[in-house]
Amino acid sequence: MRKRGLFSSKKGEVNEELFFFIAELILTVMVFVILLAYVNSIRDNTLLEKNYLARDVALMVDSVYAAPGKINVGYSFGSIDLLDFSFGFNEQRAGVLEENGEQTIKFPYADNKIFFSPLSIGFMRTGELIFIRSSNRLRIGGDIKENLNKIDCPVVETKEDKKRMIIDAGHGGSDSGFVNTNDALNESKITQQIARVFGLYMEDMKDEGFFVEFTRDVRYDSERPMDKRLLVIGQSSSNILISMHVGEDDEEINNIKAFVPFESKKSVKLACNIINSLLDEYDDITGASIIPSEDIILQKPVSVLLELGNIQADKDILNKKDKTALSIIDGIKDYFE
Amino acid sequence: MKNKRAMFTLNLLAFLPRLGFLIVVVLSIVVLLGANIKTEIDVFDAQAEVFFQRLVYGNHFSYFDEVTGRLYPGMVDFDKFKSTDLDNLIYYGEENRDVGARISLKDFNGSINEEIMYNRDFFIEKEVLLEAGFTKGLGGVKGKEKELYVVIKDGNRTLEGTLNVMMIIQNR
Repeated sequence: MRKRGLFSSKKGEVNEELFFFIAELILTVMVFVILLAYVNSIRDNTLLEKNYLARDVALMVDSVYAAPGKINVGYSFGSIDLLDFSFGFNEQRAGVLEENGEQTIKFPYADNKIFFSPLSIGFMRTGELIFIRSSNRLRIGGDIKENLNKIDCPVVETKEDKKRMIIDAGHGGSDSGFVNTNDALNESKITQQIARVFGLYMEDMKDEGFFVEFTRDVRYDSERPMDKRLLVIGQSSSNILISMHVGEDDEEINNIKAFVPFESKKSVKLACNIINSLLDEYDDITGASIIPSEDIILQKPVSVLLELGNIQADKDILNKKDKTALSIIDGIKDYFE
Repeated sequence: MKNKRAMFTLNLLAFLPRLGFLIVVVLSIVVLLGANIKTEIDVFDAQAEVFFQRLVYGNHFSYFDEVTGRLYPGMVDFDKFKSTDLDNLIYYGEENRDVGARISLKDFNGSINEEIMYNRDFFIEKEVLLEAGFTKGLGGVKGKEKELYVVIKDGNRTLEGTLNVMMIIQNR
């Protein structure tokens, strides 16, 4: 007797209908799934946002150049969270990409060859772009707001055997810098104490090739005028310079700012490593930015002027000097690795 | 039995056009959806306007008064106009394939009729496309012409005239 199959049973016709019904059902489900996936991919797609942002920030660069006189613009967005994207400005193209690295969208802008942005070195996530034009030069910085993933540091070779650095503890003596409203904190003492702890830790790291010198005596809150500090920096054979300061802002603000010389990729990397290390240590930082600067203290090819926290905010970054010093050291170690 | 198999094969064959039709319908939906979803924004007008503003308000050929230390947008310094290096002041990279412009300065008496070019090679190349009407798609270009009444400072002479800017921008 022949084995009865699906289409050779006595009820073959019914089974045949069943086969076509199932086949159609499967097809319908497949079509539904395909369309659903397609619609979902459109819904999740941020191509429009990227296109919009690339065009908008490129036009912003052009507009800032077109404006007469000095101008300072903070660029953020109401409906789009800029932190979902990374921005880069390179070769007259404003580029926007997403965290997952999908397809960079670029749009052209024109500069005037005197242009600098830490974002021209690599892409950076930022909550707010800062456009500053002065003296016919445009700078673009990023303000990375709460909270705040680590910055992507530029890739540049900075490995060195001799890790010599000069630390400038800002202000000192009669020049107290910023003082908070309760007179409990003053900038010169904070920078001196952080620098002192920094020096003590560095003593233990001599075997690893680290060597540190200071622009003023940090065993106490000593005073040394700027011209003398510049002389010390000029005579120093250190590879890098870090000038420590404290910022001043509204009480709820606890930002880190790093000022770097124009077009110094290595300085951006050092600033980026230090900021990332501080972000790792303190979770109450409200913002971080790397800003190109012409500050006179930035004398070494690799220089960073750090503005740590806010004198008006009673936060750990200023109170826990050993932790802050260690975080800065970790950042420096990352830089030399 | 053979008949049943034949019937099944026939039904199966009859099913194939339905399958093909279904695929066409699905693809049509996908294409229609795709065609109606905008992922790009045309910023040509904004780009052209900003470029024009940059020319007019920038320190490219605007008159600068040494006594007051101020730049006067809308007043054209004729000497600066003739000698300005726009390609470096408005820098779109060594190989600018984005924007080109022809800037003409004329006074009403006809004593001044000067023309300078921004990104000359690109402008000449793309002007042909623009005149031929290639304004759509990635290979196309769009053009915009703007004119401004200006005061021309030519040495000690002060003349009234017009600044005409014809811009050509590559589609993106």
